[in-house]
This record gives sequence, structure tokens and C-alpha cells, in this order.
Amino acid sequence: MIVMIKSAPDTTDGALGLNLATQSGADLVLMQNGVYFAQKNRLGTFSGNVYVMDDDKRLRGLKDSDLDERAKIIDYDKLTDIITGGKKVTGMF
Amino acid sequence: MPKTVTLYLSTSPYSYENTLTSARIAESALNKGHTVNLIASADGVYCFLTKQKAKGILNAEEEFARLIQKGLKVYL
Amino acid sequence: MANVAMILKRSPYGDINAAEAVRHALGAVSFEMGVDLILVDGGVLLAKKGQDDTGTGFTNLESTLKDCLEMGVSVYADIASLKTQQVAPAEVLENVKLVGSKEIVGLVKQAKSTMIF
Repeated sequence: MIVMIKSAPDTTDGALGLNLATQSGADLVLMQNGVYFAQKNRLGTFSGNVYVMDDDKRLRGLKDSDLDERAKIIDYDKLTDIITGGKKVTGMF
Repeated sequence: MPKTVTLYLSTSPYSYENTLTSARIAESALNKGHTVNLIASADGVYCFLTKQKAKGILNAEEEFARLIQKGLKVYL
Repeated sequence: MANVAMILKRSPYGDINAAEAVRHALGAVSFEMGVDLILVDGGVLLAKKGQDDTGTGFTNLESTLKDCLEMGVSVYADIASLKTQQVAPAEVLENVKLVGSKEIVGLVKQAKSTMIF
């Protein structure tokens, strides 16, 4: 499963998305304000893959060095491949 | 293999980032040969009003009109 | 004394609030009103250096905030919020004043009116 999060870490929706992904062993796609989850020490016990939208990350001035080492930076083409890749997509939180 | 991607847009065109995100995902999926549906509901329907005057920001009417020409199917 | 205190609580780009705050701040100073733009919670992210809008279709709000500063808007960022949002003081735009909650209360108390975004 893939959980998409567009809400910031300090929101109920964002926290709900992360909790769902953690509990279900899903992968995460972080976009819009959700990219702040990719900052270091924000993912708690989450252990799946973390995909971060490049446009949204750059727009917010986040540097690669700010991010969790698992973060993989992706563009819309890669996002489309993930969405159409066969896994269930849940979101957006 | 082409698939069908269905997007659901329920927010007004200029108050949230969702308009641009939807347009970008739709365009990427169309470019890859997928079928793309966009269901606009609640305030999302305002994205498809004509005579929008937005400048200096993505104009939702122009952007979605362009994507409809590329094959985007919109349902209100 | 500032005529208007504008408080921005929302982070930039996810919704229109940050863009509206800087737009109205610029509008107010252009009418020679005094403006204090106070960044709290996610709003402090507006003052983070290095925002790159290339190819995104968005207006760069870092540049707009710089315009505000140049036009005479006084911009304040809440120190506690910066910490929560993982923004180091060195990452904050020059001429943005870092303040605590006591100073923010003082700014709001002084202002003739307040707008919250």
C-alpha cells in the first residue's frame, strides 16, 4: 500500500496519514506541506520507503541535507509510475 | 500497460495547492498514455468556470482546458 | 506604533494564506500604514531561505517577503515556532527579527487592528 500525505506534520490529517502508513507497513509519498515529514526525526517508527516530491520540497527551501536519509526525491513522472504501479493508493491526507 | 487514473478535486481553484497538484499529476499520466478522469465535487467545480481572470498564478480554467484537449475527462 | 499587526500561522504554498498575508502587507505599507508581520507556527517557514520556485508555477514567497522588508514591513518570527519547524536562526532571512511570545503579545497589544492568516 502507498499512503500519500499532503498535510504538514503539525496537523491531524498529517499525523493520521503517518500513523496509517506506519501501522500498515505502507510506503509514503510526501507532497505539498507533507514534505516537511521528510525532515530528520519526524517519521517516528515508520519503516517503509519515503518518496518526496521534488517541486514541493524545493519550493519550501528544504535542502537534501535537511531530510531523513531514506527520502527518495521524485518528480511527477515517477509519481505516476508509483500510482499506476499496482499497489493500493490511499490518500491524500 | 495503460491504466486509468481517477483524481478527485474538491477545493476551490486558488485557495489551495491542490489545483496545481491535480493538474501536474493529470498531465504526467496523460503523457504516459494513461486514461485520466477528474471528478470535481464541492468547491472543486469552481475550477471549471469560464471567464476566470487569474493572473500571476496558475489559471485553473486555462490549465484544465489545455489538459482536456490532451484527453483529460472531467466529471462535475 | 504599527497600525496593523498581521499574524501568519499557516505555512507557505499549501494554501493561499501566506500569499495573502504578504499581499495585504505590501498593500498596507504602500498606503503608508505601519505593518508588523508576525510569523508563528507554520508561518515561520515563510522566512526560510532558499525557496526555489523553478518550474513549479508558483510565485516565490521568499522574494515577496524580501519585498515586504524593503518596503518597510517589520517582520517577526517566533523563536519557539522556528524550533518546532526545524528552522535554524541562520536559515532565516536577514532583517527578520526573532522574538519570543512576550514580545509578540506586546506587538499585538500595540497594534490598532489585527489580521490573522
